[in-house]
Amino acid sequence: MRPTPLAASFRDPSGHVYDIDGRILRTITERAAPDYAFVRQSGLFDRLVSRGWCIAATEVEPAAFGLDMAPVVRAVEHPRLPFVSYPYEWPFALLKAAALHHLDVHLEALDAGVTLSDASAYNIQFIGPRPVFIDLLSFRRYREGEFWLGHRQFCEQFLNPLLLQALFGVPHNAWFRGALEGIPTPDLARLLRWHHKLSWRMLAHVALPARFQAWADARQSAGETPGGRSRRMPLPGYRGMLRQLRRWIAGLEPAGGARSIWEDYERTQGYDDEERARKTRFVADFVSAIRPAMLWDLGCNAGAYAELALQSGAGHVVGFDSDQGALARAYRRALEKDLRFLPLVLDGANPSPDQGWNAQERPGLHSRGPADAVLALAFAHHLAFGRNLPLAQVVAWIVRLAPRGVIEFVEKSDPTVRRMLRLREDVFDDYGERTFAEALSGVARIVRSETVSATGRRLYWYDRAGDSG
Amino acid sequence: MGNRTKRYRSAALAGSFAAVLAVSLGWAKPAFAYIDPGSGSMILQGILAAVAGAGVAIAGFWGKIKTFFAGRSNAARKDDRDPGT
Repeated sequence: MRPTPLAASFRDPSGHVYDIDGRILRTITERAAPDYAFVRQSGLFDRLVSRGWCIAATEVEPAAFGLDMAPVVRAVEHPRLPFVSYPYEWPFALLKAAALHHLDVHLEALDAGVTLSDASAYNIQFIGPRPVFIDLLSFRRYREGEFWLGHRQFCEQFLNPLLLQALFGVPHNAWFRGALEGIPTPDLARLLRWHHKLSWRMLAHVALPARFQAWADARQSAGETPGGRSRRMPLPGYRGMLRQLRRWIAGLEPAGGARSIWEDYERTQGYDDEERARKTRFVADFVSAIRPAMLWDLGCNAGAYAELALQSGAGHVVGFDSDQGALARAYRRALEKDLRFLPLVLDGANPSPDQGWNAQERPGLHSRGPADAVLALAFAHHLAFGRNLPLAQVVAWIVRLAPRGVIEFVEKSDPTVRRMLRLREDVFDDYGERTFAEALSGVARIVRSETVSATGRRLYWYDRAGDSG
Repeated sequence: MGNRTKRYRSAALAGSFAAVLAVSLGWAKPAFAYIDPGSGSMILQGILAAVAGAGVAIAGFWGKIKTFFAGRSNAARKDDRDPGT
């Protein structure tokens, strides 16, 4: 039986990506072979790989993997990414880094007589906080005078989502998750106020393309076929568009500064130094005993425990939080300290689902797991009180994400919980340490537990390895 | 506010001018595109290409004028230096 490509690999007829026994392979078809050879010979690809801008690709024999079917003529093997994430899971800073990376790769390519056939945000992945370009077959020979064919896609998948937050202070994540091809330019144009359009860049990349598209659509539905005149874009003009977008995006910041109630959380939370040391020791003991290749940190905040986990022997940490301000700090920490830590947007009560074409194209969080270990520190009570989720269900969900982990229990009398409940009736009769411990021991073995604060916060180390679930 | 309105008017004027240009110029049907590049973007780039092309043409023309005069004066100097050849 022939291998089947990954569910997301269907758009480009140049080749497909396969996961065969954990090895990531990419086929190259006959139609793409000349461009592939050109790009290889140009030296561009090796240069980008050696800089870490592009993922490596080693040539392999297609027949060795059962991939020698027409029209496949070549195959390459890529190293496996530690984690695949999607633009709707990236906080602002990551989407911005991905956008700049895409433009940098394209500008570098043009210098070598190579261009990119598309501008999909899904072609950028992250290793720690560093963006890497993953689609080898997007590179092809540049033809003198050609237009930037990926311009619209670039705007819809990078520029428009960034502008949504930079102009209006609205994070792109929910919209992007609902519309996987990004934010359509006509939709963003409709939101612009008159003063936004005073900027030439906003006119050129948002307002005018939207207007032109409406005009062309109207002509088309009237039975006319607009266009047809041959125009040539001089290379300096092409580069100019890329450079202009690069300068613009480099200066974009979230409107309102994306500050939040949890941004100062790590500094103001109710732990004294000794208590913090106890919690740190517990987490470090757990991670150094397990040494997980991949650890998920739920409610990662600014990444203090992600950093601790990496120091204690975790290979990679993916952090999840719903707070954009905390994630911005987490990203800065990862970048400045060069940590293999990727902070992502996640609402624990509504994790990324399997979605896209055939409901398989973009696997959800659960389909990308399980992780080797999970940390859920000061996390479960947010779902229990903030989203009215039964504590036992929250515990079972966390345990499902990884065979081993540490979960922190927070008492109802804790100042944080009291603050969460100050405007609400306490309808959480079932919430308590007994419920927590029973729920946890129902789905896993409790290896160790320790009370780490005077307010009764308690850490539980669980292990369900060897169990079926 | 008056200043803003003025800027807005000039931006709107630039927009209408660009739209007129777009109608009169059209754009190329792109080969090698496996994704739809979008008519809005293609028209925009048609205009940018026309403007950039005109820029190149003007620069070229300007260059010719300069060469013409520089050539003449160089030739004149050459004549002065070496009248025999």
